Amino acid sequence: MIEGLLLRTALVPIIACAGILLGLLYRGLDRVLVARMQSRVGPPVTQPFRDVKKLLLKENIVPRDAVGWIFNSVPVIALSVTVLILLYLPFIGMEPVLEGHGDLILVIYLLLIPSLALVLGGFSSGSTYATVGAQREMVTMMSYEFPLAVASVSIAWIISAANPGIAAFSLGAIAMNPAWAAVGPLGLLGLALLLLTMLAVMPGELGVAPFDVAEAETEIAGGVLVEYSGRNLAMFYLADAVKAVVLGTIVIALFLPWGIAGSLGITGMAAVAADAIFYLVKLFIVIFVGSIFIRAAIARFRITQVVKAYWGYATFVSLLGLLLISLDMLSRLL
Amino acid sequence: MNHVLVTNAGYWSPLVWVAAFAIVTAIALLIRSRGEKGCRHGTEQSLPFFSGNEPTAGNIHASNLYWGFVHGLARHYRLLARAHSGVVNDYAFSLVVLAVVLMAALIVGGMA
Repeated sequence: MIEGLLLRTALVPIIACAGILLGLLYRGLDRVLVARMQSRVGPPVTQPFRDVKKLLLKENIVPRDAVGWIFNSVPVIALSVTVLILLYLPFIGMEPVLEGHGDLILVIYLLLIPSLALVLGGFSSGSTYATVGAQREMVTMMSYEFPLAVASVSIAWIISAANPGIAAFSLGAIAMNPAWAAVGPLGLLGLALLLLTMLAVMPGELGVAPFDVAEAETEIAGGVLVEYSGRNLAMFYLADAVKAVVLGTIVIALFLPWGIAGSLGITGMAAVAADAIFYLVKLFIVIFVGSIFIRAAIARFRITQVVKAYWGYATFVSLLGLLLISLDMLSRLL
Repeated sequence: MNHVLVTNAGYWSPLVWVAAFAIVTAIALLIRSRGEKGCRHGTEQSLPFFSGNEPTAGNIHASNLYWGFVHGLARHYRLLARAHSGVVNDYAFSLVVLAVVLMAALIVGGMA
């Protein structure tokens, strides 16, 4: 037991570094692809690494009217909690490092903390723009939580119905028992709608266009982050990069949990490597659809449109998905 | 004893959470410590950014987070502040009045 504990403790820094590096790499790909879609050359893939290096060299300015200890501490909390979520997820095709110590409900709650850190950072900076941005971030957060909860709970419900007695919210259990295999045609349609909902929630969670109302550079000059600079801004930058990996991994764990090694008949270390590469491909596809493509294709919404998109359309689609899954389950009982 | 809170469907181990949080926070602080620590104090760069305009309502310190509520509900707060005189007899009187009102409500409700 102690050996297992030591191994898990040793894995934490490795997962943290891997999450940060992968996040920055995907951020680089994001910038290149968006540039190409907009007929621009764009920066090199390594640009996010340079950005972080540059930010760490810049002065760390704390505004005169700020509450210093909150202003300085929330960027660290945002990064550490975002990395912490990765430890509860099946990252790079492996079993979660903290498997058995926290479930999907915990992950959904933890997802709130980086956004709350951003809100607190905005309010504590004593800037009018940041206050407006913080209020917008709160409204956005409240808007996408319900469709996110409906999608997550529906998956757990399907798995608990198909496997009575199982810990339905365990991410390991969800990854081992794909929901698609436990439903009929109506349920498949319902699951497709829930996947669509999750992909729609992703840009809101990540604060990218068209849901980047909290920052909105051309409108409120960077909003919540307007007063941040130097190493504090670098922390938020890294947290954002890791959050894309976190959200992509959640979508993969809930909707696309399959490995490829079994299908190819590979075993041992080769199987681990094959599943890891397959995970990276799935992660790229999820981030591309849920963030990169949407960001390049749609201009920024107004805050009222963000609320309407989540409380109206995304909630409707998620509830419709849940209804179809319920009908599928009823048709199986009759 | 594994210190895991278990419900019918979910589970959470707060101790492991705290331990893991401490490790990742140490990593985050390590990265942060690699950055530039200070800035030039007393210069214009520490003023809140306002697009080059003069702030309209003066600078309200960020610690006054609920300034809008305090300002909007000022009359209500003045009323409450006046009621809190600090004299024990006033509080006892308020309690007696409240008790009478409650008794009256109970009696009237019971008779109805």
